[in-house]
Amino acid sequence: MASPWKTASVPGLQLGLGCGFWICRSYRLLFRAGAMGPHVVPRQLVWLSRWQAVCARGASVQHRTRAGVSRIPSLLSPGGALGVSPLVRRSSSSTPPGAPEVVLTQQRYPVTRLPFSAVSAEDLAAFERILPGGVVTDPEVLEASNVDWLRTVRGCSKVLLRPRTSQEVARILRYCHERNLAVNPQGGNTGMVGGSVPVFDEIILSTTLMNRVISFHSVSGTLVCQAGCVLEELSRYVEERGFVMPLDLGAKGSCHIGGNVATNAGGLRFLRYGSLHGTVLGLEVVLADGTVLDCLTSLRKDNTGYDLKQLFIGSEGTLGVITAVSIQCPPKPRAVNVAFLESPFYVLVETSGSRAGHDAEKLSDFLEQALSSGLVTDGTVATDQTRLKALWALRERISEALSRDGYVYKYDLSLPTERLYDLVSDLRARLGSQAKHVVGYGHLGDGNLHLNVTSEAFSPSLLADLEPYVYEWTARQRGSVSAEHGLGFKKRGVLSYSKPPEALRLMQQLKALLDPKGILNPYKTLPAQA
Amino acid sequence: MAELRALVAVKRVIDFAVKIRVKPDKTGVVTDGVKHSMNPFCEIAVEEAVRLKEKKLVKEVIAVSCGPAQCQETIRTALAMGADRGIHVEVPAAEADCLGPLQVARVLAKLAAKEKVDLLLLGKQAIDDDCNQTGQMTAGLLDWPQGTFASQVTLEGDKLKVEREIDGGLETLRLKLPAVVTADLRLNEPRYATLPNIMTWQSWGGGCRRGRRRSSSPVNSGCPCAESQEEEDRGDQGRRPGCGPDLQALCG
Repeated sequence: MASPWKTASVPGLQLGLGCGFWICRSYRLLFRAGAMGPHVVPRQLVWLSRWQAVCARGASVQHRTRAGVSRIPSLLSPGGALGVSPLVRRSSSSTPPGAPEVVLTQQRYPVTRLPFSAVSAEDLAAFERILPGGVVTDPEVLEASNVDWLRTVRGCSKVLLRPRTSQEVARILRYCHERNLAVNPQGGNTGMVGGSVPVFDEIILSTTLMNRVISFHSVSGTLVCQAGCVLEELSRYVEERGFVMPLDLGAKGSCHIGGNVATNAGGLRFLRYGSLHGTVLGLEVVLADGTVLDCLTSLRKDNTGYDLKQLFIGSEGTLGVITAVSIQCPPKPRAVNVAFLESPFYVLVETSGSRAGHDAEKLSDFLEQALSSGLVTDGTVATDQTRLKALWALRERISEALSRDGYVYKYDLSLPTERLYDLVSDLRARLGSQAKHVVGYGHLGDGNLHLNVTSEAFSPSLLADLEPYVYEWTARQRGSVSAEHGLGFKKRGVLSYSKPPEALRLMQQLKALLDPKGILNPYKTLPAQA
Repeated sequence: MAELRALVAVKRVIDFAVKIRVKPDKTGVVTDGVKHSMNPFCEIAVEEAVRLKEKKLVKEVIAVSCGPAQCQETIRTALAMGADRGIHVEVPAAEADCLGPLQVARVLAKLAAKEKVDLLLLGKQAIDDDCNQTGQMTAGLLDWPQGTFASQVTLEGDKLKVEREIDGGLETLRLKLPAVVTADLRLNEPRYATLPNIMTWQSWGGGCRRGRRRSSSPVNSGCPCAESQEEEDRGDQGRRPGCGPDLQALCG
């Protein structure tokens, strides 16, 4: 297991680099679509997109939250206005007015319902007995949980359950197991591969009300909490106590830690603190038949037998439902520097360390070297917190910006660093005018490319040109067809581009062992059995 | 077009986004180890000065800051944004606490007269004390016209047209030069200093000369509440006009 705190060694820079990643030049084009200015050549990085310009001018900032749209008045200070909006609140209930209805998954994709039972009135009564007040059947509320954040897949579930404790989850699963009812565990519903919403009428098991922090050890930084805690809330909690969460994503305002663990989320701090496989110390999981597996240890070292929690990390809710997480939080860095560089790619670099003067000197040396050698042509350094947040917003909100450009085809690939961008150029040539934009950004330090193609509306011919070309291209480089987003529903069929048949067979055996009836998150992750 | 020279005063304050903590002995707020940066309104003032320079209405922009050694960082930021010269009025850390708007106004008035500038730009207020006094006091000491809370500044012939934000709405003034202008929120959006600029100026301060012409001349003007200090290039007066008795009582 890799140590959570790696130091990346870039020539001349021996700091623990927070996260280096980059955006391609055509990123500028994205903002041409919605921006006021003609293009973003940051010689003077006075960059504003239309909504940020509105914020800076003193108008109110609109945040999309779960409750709908709320207005936050602009702050007195100019920097504040810029810094307020960046946190993306990927609300599953934010249906833009006039947005096209999402087609039902069963209509758009070739998928057949497996012979699970259908939810009956007796089932609802039984759920009501287990979770008084936690059974939701209102179609309007269900709407949000039936559609994914990207608005590309939609289920038709009729029941949403909101347990508060692991015992309630256990009782629900035991009941569903006996009745052969399919269950779809759901956290923040911010996944990118349609794994968080039902395909047919699976019961949605939401962790929204399981949002308690169970304990936090103030010296070691070990956090134990329920699976439904929102990542941003946890960040705030541990930061007040001098620590920091080992992962950070653009979706932090909505995603649940349980979902993060279930998908082995990577994110913006991956380069610095490593994978959840290393930072998660223990899990409490409820298995398909209702058994509670309590491996919620907070020990750093425990070599007693097989490390079962590793099975569930990244299992995407198909092997068990994670109900509590014990995670190791690193100490909060006292000195954080963010630099935004242009090279011809745009690269955002964050350094974290314990001494401001020392770090500033190291960063300064690196930047001087990079500038004089011609590696970097221009850029800026964040001088204060608000600038820091504004620079990060440039990277964190790309996904949001893309979703406003039209229909987005998303690919998340691991490739050798030297060939990371070649696919983007290849695709641009291949697709020509079919695509509105072909964009490549991602986590440079992790060798992870987020390839995004946008078009005005969904087009089967464009999809046919993209797949399997992208996957085959990746397989030829021995890369991963899903670096951090997982397989979910949309990528369940492409596992074999990156894993040999023996591996797939073993995965299927494990699934059969832990969930013989296949009720946990069916139609996802593993390919459909022939 | 015009051969105007502008002086911009900048203040180093606790960063806007930092959570302020009161010291345990309740004598002030914790400043040790806390992130400081340029006052946001001063940033806007610097930006405006640099924009006027880019429009060729101003020939030279001088950035000035009063305070302990750390102020040099703030001046460096102003230089990286586009100022031509920087002046650091060094005040020892111990005396920096009694440096208030009147003292700073006196320093700025002296500097403005000495450097013969046509335009003095400041932020409308600092986010740590929210005084909103320095600009006005300086104008009073210099007997210059003032346009405060400016949301737009343009040059019309030999007059400065300032649009100000007041309680009732907007007011437009035409000021004769030289004049004092304090910047309000909507005047402009400050730029990010570019890396090449940051690198050029990073070793400014402490008498280092490099690259373009700039002077790093810590002017020892001394806090009026403290002993007078001799200034290198001001032979004529030793002691700055001291505080009035009421202010001395406040400082002491």
